Amino acid sequence: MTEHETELERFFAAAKAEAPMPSGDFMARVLAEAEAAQAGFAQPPAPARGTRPGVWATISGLFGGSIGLGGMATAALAGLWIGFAGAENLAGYWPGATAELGTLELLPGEELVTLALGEGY
Amino acid sequence: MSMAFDALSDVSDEALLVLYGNGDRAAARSLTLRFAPLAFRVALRMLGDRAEAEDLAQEAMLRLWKIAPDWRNGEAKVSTWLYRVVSNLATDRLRRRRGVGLDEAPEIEDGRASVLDEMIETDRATALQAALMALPERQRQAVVLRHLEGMSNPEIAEAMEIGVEAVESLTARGKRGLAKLLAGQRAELGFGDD
Repeated sequence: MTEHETELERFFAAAKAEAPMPSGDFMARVLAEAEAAQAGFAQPPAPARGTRPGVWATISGLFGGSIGLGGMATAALAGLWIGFAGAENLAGYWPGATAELGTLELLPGEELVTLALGEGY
Repeated sequence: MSMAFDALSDVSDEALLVLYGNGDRAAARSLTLRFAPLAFRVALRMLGDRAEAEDLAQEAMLRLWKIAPDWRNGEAKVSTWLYRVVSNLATDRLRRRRGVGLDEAPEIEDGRASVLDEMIETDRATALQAALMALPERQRQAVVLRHLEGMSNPEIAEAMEIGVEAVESLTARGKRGLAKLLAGQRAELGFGDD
């Protein structure tokens, strides 16, 4: 390497060490343009908003929609009224409301026990 | 404005550009950090004017953003592509500034060295920049890319869209020109005592 080339290398080294840096404003402008350009690229379609059922719609659906809920509300009010007014007052609407019901034995009767003991148990 | 470090520093330039094209916002920041200073640096070396260099570099970066969705990995290096865009834009501006074609650019004459005598700054980096501005554009471009940006001759050939031999010729002539231009500054820049 000649003397002149060595000198020139020193100039190059100095220039690289003193490499000019852009301003912060410039960097911000470039980044802003990068983001703006990126926003214009084709994006995959976003899921449509509002298609997910809300809480009310979910509850309503569980009971058969608004018609089912209406029936439930009517039954609840009727039960409440019967509870306060007493079953006797239903006689005007349903004659069998105050009639005695027949009894039904769910446990083994005396005859069955006697029969079992008589057989040697 | 302060910018965070390059969070995707282990990702290649080309992969980063593809990520950017796919909408990755972190990639936008990383690419800006990597390439905006490079574009500005080369533009300033070519134009010698800070405001104009920022304007040119911003234009070059905008072209990079726009080409990103169509970028194909393996076709080219992002840095080489950007060097080419910056160089072409700088050449266009210098041509408009001068008002003549490149072929008419004069070679250096001994009298051009007097340009440096008018400089106030005496440090080597500034002197070199002034000397670079006195070189014909193509020589300046080749010298900047080779000796200040550290590119290989084949890379420069791709960036300047010429052959490797032409790059070698431009670089050699540019260095001879610089040596001649800087010769008058030797004593002032501390070479007299070496």
